[in-house]
Amino acid sequence: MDENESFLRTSVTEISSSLIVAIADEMSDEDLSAFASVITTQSNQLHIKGVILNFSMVQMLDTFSMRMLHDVSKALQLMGVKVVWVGLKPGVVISLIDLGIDFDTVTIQTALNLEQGLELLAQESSL
Amino acid sequence: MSERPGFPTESRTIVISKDTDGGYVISIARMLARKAGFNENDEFLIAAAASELATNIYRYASAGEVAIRIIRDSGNSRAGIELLASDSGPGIENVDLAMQDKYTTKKGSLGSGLPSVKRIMDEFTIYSQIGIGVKIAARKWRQHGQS
Amino acid sequence: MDNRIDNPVMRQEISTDLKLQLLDQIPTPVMAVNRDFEIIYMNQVGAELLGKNRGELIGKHCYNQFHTPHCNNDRCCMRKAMTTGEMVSSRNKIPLSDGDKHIMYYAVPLKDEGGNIVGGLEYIVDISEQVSYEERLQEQSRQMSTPTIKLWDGVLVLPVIGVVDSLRAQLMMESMLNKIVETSAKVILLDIQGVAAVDTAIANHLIKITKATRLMGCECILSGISPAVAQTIIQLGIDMVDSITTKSTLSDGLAEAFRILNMKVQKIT
Ligand SMILES: Nc1ncnc2c1ncn2[C@@H]1O[C@H](COP(=O)(O)OP(=O)(O)OP(=O)(O)O)[C@@H](O)[C@H]1O
Ligand SMILES: [Mg+2]
Repeated sequence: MDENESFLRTSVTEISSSLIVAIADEMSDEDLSAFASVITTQSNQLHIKGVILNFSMVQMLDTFSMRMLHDVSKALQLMGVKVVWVGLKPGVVISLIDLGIDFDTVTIQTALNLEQGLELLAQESSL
Repeated sequence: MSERPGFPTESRTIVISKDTDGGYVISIARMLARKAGFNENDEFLIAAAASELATNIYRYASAGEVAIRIIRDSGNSRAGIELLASDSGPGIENVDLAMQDKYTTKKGSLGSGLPSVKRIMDEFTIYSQIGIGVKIAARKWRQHGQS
Repeated sequence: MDNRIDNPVMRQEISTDLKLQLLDQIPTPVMAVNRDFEIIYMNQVGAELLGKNRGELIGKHCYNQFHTPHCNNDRCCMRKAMTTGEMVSSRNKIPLSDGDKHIMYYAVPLKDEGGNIVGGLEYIVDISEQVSYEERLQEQSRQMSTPTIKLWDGVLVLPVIGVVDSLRAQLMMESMLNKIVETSAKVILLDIQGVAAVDTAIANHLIKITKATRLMGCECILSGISPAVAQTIIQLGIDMVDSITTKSTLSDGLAEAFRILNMKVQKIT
């Protein structure tokens, strides 16, 4: 499968050296690994300072996807990119907690919605 | 029966068969601990211990009971609280493991229940038989000078 | 002034017959058994409860009459009373044709002149009303128990009062998360000043709640930690301190919330 084809399921927007990634609902394992490699290379090529993962379309997240997205975020963090997760729905959060996922809130920041996420990135870069 | 417990407030047996019975155990434990003269810190500690025992019965044995009573030592000089938990559940596979901190067979639990009961109480005995059930007796004595 | 009537009860000696008559008058079931749990006495109310004649009950095993979850096993208070020599009481349920009857029963050992335990006496108190009251109260308190309140722009507070069981913890979590979305809150104060107890399960729930709110971009501050609760948490061996912002009072918590929001409360001079 062409890497970009499966990656089409998520949309990426670039604004002022930040990437806003809208995570699609129910991404397959292939989608996820394609997403992981694309997002890290793009961040590198475009000299990205911050990445926002927008979960507002996600109704359900399994442990595998969570782990994948968590790992990508940590990799980005290592590359000096700020990562903010936004728009997690209460239902998704509750199921993640029930699954016993340990989320690293020290390296990955969270915000309620896209607006607050952007604010957070702006704050970080002005510091 | 020279030291017959005052009736019926000095000793209570709570049958555990549903989630909310733990709450009942907490209230009774606090009430009896207060009556026995424990201070607020100990009252909370005893309630926590009693609640751990009740939670385990509900979780792992589905039914059983927790008895809580005020006790006096043989010289009648100290008062204390005794917790007796008994169930006819599956029993504990490996008691030594179960008594270790962070050991749990329930996903997402802390595994600190039984070791905490042992830490909180002054005396602790556990008796388990596979297929028969678990019996736990634990006592905490009032410190001298505690009014 | 001596106008005492000749009341047999006032006499020092009460005949065994009269004692039994007295037991018959007690408006609650009373039963006596021998060491083999064979019924040797049952009062009228007791027989009525079972829907049997008193006569036909004598000599029968009590456990074959009552069929409660305690019957003929180690949970039986009568058995305990006969082994310990003490009064033993417990809640129990008697299965009847029109459903379970909630009871409290009290068992005392019967001794002969030599002090040997020869049987036991038991009486039963109907506590159905108390139980249904407790259940109603529990249900009500559960419904009232999850009020997440907006305290300030961006600040929510959830006071936790009484007993936290897992269902209530779940409701608390849902209530908090939904309110965070609704109000765009950045800080939530979980105030446990009024909590009845903290055990590992409750501590675990509190930790999970703080993790959940963080996933939504909302900082959770645990306030109202009394010395007793603090000590209990230490004894439980739970390291909350590292992962959760904790404060001893709600007002300290609120001050911390304002700090997070870069706000300052000042006296107007
Ligand atoms: N009454 C019981 N019957 C059968 N197994 C039990 C009983 N009590 C405890 N266990 C076993 O012992 C283990 C340890 O119990 P403990 O109370 O220490 O931790 P936990 O219940 O798993 O977690 P926590 O109490 O921290 O929520 C349990 O996971 C369970 O496997
Ligand atoms: Mg436990």
